[in-house]
Amino acid sequence: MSALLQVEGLTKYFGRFAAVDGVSLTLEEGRLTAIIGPNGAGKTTFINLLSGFLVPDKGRVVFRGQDVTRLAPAARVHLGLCRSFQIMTLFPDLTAEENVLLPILARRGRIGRAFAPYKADSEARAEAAEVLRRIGLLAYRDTPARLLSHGDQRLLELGIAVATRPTLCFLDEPTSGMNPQERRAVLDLVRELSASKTTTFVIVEHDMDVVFSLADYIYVLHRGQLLAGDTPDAIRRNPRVREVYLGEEVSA
Amino acid sequence: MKAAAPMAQAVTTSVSRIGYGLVLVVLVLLPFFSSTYTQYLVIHMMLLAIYALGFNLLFGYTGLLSFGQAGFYGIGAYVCAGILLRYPSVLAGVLGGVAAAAAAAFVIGVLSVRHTRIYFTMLTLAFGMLVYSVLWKWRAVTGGDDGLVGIPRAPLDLFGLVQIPLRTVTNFYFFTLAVTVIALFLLYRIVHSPFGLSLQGIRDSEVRSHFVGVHVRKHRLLAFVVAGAYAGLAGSLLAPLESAVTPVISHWSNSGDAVLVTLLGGVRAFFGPVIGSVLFVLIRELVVQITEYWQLVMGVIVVILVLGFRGGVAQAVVDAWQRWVVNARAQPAHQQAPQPAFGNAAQAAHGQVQQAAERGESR
Amino acid sequence: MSFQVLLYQGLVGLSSAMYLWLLSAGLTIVFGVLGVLNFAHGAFFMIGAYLAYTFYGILGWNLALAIAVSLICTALIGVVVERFLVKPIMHLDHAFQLLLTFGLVLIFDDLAKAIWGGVFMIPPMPRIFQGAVWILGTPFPIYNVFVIGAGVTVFVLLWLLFEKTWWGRIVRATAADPQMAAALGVDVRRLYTGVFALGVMLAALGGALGTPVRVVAPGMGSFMIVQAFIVTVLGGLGSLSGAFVGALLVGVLSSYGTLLFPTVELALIYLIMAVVLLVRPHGLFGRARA
Repeated sequence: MSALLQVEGLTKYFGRFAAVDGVSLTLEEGRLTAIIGPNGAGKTTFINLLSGFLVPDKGRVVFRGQDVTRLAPAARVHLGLCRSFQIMTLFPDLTAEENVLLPILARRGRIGRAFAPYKADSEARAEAAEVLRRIGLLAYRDTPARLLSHGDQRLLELGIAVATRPTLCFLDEPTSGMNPQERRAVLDLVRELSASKTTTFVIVEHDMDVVFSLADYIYVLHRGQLLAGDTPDAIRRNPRVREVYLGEEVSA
Repeated sequence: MKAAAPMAQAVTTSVSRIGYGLVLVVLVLLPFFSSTYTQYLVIHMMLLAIYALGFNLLFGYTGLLSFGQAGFYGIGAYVCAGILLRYPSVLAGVLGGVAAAAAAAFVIGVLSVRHTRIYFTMLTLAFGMLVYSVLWKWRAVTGGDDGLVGIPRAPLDLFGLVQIPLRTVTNFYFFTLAVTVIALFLLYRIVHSPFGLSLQGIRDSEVRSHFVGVHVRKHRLLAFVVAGAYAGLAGSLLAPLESAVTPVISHWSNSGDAVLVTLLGGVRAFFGPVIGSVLFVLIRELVVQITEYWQLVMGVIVVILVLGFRGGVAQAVVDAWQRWVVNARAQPAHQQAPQPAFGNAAQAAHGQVQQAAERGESR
Repeated sequence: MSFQVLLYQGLVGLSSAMYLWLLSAGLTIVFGVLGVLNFAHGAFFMIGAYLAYTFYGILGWNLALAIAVSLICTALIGVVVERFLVKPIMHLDHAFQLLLTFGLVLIFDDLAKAIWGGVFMIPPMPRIFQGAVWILGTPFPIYNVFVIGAGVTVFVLLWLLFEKTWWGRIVRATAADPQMAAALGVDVRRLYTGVFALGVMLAALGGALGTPVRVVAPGMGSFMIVQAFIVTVLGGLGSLSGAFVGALLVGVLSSYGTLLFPTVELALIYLIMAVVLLVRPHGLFGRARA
C-alpha cells in the first residue's frame, strides 16, 4: 500500500480562529479511512482544504507525489481527487442520468464538444447507466434530480462522486439525515466500491456505528488538531479520545 | 421539457417536429400571400429572435443575466454598416459585424465572468452603456447621435460566382430567413451538446460543476462570446435592413427587450425566445394602432407575466399539454407531473440549496 | 486652467452628486433590507420631481411645503407599490425582480407622459436662494450650497437613524436575519413597508430638490437609475457610506470629465465602476452578500 495523499502542517484561519491547526497525516491507498471528531473539530474545513474548496494559510497537500495545495477543484478532479457534499449539491433540474453524465463527459475530455448531441455518446451513456444501476437509481434516469426522495438524492450525490472515477474520494457525512434502510444502502455501496480497489474512500462522519463498521483506519480531530490516528480497536481504547468524546456531548 | 414522462416525451417530440416543419413551410411561402409590410415585420421578429436566443443561452441555460447585450448588438450593427459603406457585400458586412461583436464579447467577458449574479449583471449593464456612450460621442467614426445613414442593402455576393440582389424586401426576407434557420440550427446543436449540458450544470450548481471537473469560468466565457456573437448577428442584419444605425440601439432599454422577450416566451424552452419575439412584435404593432402608450401596455404585460406566469408562454402551453397527458394516463408516484420550473416552492428550495452551498464558497 | 475654474467645477460636481446620492441611498437601503433590486426606483425620483414642480411651479406653493407634500405623496404611492408588487417578488431570483421593476419603469414613464405631457420649463428660484456665495474667490450659487448641505445632512441623519436609534437597530437586525427577527416578535412585513417608504422618499427628495434648477421630463428617472445602480454597486450593495462615497466619486469625476475630457465623459462612470469592481469585487464597502 502506498501513500496516496500526504498532508503536512495544514492550517486554516478564520480571522484569529484556527479551524484547522497544523494537521499532518497520510492517507494510504486501498485503506478505507474515517475522519471523526466532535462538533466543531474542523472536519468539514479539513475536507474543504483537501478538495480545493478553500485555500490553506499554511502547510502542504501532496497527492500522488504532486503538490496540489493551491490547485483549483476542477483540476484536482481531473487528477483523481473528488468529494461529495454534506449539503445536497446536485444539479436539481437535470435528470439523474445527466447528473451522472456530466462528470463522465468531463473525465473523458468530451465536455468541450459543442456540436454533437450528448445523447449520441453511447459509450458515456452506457457508463452512466452502469453507475445508476450500481446505486439503484436506473429506473429514475429521466427524472429531474429535485424530484427524487431525500435518500435517493444522497445516493445520486454518491453516484456523481463515483462517476468521476476518482482515485481518492472524500465523503462528507454521506449518511446524514437518512433512515436506517437508506444508511445501509449507502454503506453497502461504499464497502463494495472500496473492495473493488479502484477508489480509496475517506469518510467524515459523526455516526460511530457507521465508522466502526466500515473503517480500516481512523483519524480523530479535536479543535482543529490531530488527536490520534490508529486502527478502530486502538482508537476505541485510546484514553484521550475517550476523554474528548465522553467529556463532551456524544453525537451518535 | 425534460420532465415529461417518456411516452409523453416521445409524442411531444414527433408533434413538435411536425410543428417546426409546418412553421418553416409557412415562412417560406409567406411572401406569396402577404404584403411587404408583413414581411418586414417578420424580418424584425427574426432579428429579435436571434438576439434573444443568444441572450437565453446565457440566461436560461447558463444562469447568467446579462443586461448589456444591446452593446454587442450595436457593435455588430455599426461595424457591418461601416463595412457596407465601403465594400458592398452583405456577407462581408455580416461576418465582420459578428466577428467584431464576438471579439468585444471576449474582452468584456473576461472582465465580467469572474463575478456572478448581481455584480455580473451590473457589469454587463455598465459595459453595454459604455458602448452606447462611445457610439454617441465618437462623432468622427460613428456619426454621433445622428448615426450612420445611407447604408446600402448590398447584394449577397457568394465567392464572386453568384450575386443575389437584396434591395427588395422580399429578397432580404429570404436572406434573413436563411440566416435565421442556420443560426437556430447551430444554437440547437450547441445547447444539446456536452458543452450545452455543462452550461446547465453550471446554472444548477456552480459548486458541483467545479467538483465534477468542469472549468466553470472558461465555459461561462464561451457562452458569453456566443451570446455576444448572436447579438452582433442581429445587429448586423439591422444595418442593411433599415439603411441607418443610431446609438439608441445600444441603450440599456434595448438590453431589457432581450430579457422581456425571453421571459415572455419562456426561459426554459429552447424556442421560448422565438415565441416571445413573435408575440412582442405583434403586440407592439397592434397596440400602437390603438394608443401611443404601447410601453405602458408592455409594462403591464411584463408585470402580469412575472406575477403569474413566470415560465412564459411556452411553459403555460407545456403545462396545459402535460395536464392533458397526465389525465389520459395514470402516473407512477415518483413521476407525478412536476411543478413549473419557476414555481415558488421549487424556487425557494433550490435557492436555499444554492445559497447554503455558496455561503461556504471562497473562490 | 485656473484654480477658480477647477474649484468651481469641483463644487458643481459635488452638488450634482447629491441628487445621485439621494437616489442611490434609497436603492441601497431597499436592497440591503428587503433584498430587492428595484429598477423602478428612478420612477419615484421622477414622481417626486413632477409633484414638487406641480405644487411649486404651477400652484405657486412655498418650496419647502411643495417638497414636503411631494415626499408624503410619493411615500404613499410607495406603500401601495410595495404591498402589491414588491412583496410577491421578494423571494424570487433577482432576474425576475429586475424584470418586474423594468416593467414598472415602462408603466410609470408612459403614465408621466400621459398625465403631465412633455418637457417643462424650470420655475423661478425662491428669493432666499437667489444669488451666489463667494468661496475662495469663486462665485457659487447659493442653492447649490444648500443642496450640498441637504445631502450631507441626510447622510448624517441616516447614519444616526441606523446606528443610534432603536428602530434603526431593529432594521439592521431584520436585514441580517429576518426569520430570527420575526421569531423575536418584529412585525417584519410592516418593517419592510416602512423601509421601502423611506427609500422612495429619499428618491423623491432627490427629484424634488432639483425643481428650481433642473428640468423635469419623463424618463429623467430612467436616465439616472443606471447611474444610481452603478454607484450602489461601486460603493457596495447595502452600504450607505458606500453609496455616499460612490456618488461623490462619480459626481466629482464626471464634472471634471466634462471639463477636461468631454468625449469620454459619458463613459467615465462605467469605466470607474469596472475598475473598482476589478480591485474590490464587492464594491468599496461591500461584503460578500448577493
